Amino acid sequence: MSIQMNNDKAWLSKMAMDEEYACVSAGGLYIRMVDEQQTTRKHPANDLLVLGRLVELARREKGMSVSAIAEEAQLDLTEVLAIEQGRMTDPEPRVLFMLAKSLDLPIRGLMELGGLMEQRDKSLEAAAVRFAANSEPTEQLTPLEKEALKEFVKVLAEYSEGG
Amino acid sequence: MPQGILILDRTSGDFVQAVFHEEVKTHQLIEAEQQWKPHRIAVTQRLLAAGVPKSEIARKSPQHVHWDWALKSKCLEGDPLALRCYGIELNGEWQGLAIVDLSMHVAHLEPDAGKPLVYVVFLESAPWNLRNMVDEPRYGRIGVRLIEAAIRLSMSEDFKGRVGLYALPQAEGFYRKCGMVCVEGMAYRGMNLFELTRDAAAAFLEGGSNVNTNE
Repeated sequence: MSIQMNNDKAWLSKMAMDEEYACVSAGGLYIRMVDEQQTTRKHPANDLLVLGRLVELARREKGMSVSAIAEEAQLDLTEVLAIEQGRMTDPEPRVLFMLAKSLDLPIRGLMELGGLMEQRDKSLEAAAVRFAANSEPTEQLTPLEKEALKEFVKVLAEYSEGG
Repeated sequence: MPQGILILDRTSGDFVQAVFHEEVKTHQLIEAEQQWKPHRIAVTQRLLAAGVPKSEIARKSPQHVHWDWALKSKCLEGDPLALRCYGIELNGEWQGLAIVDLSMHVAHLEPDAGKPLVYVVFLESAPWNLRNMVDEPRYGRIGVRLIEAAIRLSMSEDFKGRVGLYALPQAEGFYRKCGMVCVEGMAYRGMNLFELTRDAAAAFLEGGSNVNTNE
């Protein structure tokens, strides 16, 4: 890395941002001071499993391996595996955004399943349970799984459009 | 290589020469923490002395008062290829520090959605430079300089100036003035995601972004 900073006084004079009145800060340890209620995940416990199953089936429908989707979505292999296996209890928006983009899934729906956005009503939860009940992690998508995937993505899309 | 940069001396109102360090090492982060920690503790002590109940201390303190750069150095050691740390030093004191990630984050805003950006993991001005930490801040433009460095680093990586970060709520006003835009639907743990587009980055470097106070 080699960058050249601007030392023009006229430019620097213009860059008054009132920064002394606020923390000039960004970052990840804010969690320690956030009200516990704020940090409680907003999703039912089974949503992570549903999220994992959805990602897995959408990936398989595209005929892609876990490593292929990880590469396309610019994610770490372990992140994709953790999502698919329902082990990622605290998915970052970045991960869900890239998966949604790569798998053509509605971003808002994924955010709700991942607990990053509050579910607007119970119908998504009911649809998620139906979806989970009709899909199994086998090599090839059965006709029933294809139908379940199609139906659930439709529900998620309606959620995203409604938001 | 360290290079000279100007920052604002708030006492005299003049710009003074400081040193910009492109690569801050672990031992320097620990040094910074040793310098900054007593000032953070002083904030808490002042609140307690003013009769603020302990249960209210966190809410009334600056939202980054608990940050510990010695701990952050651990994450730097854990991923030395992706993470970079840079900082500003004057008279042996660290005036501001930032850690950025060059590998794992992408833009959400058009026209560059999905393209890589410089993600600011942590960015902080020394406590003695902040109005909510001390009555008379010593130096200014620290945050501006740290953001400028993120943009220039983004340019050098061919990321076109794109920068992203999760802002503490108290700092959102500053980032908006830098020209950053809140990305809707991406809030995480009470913080909003802000991004600087390539056009906003160019405006910042031209000195015009501070008029952009709208999202």
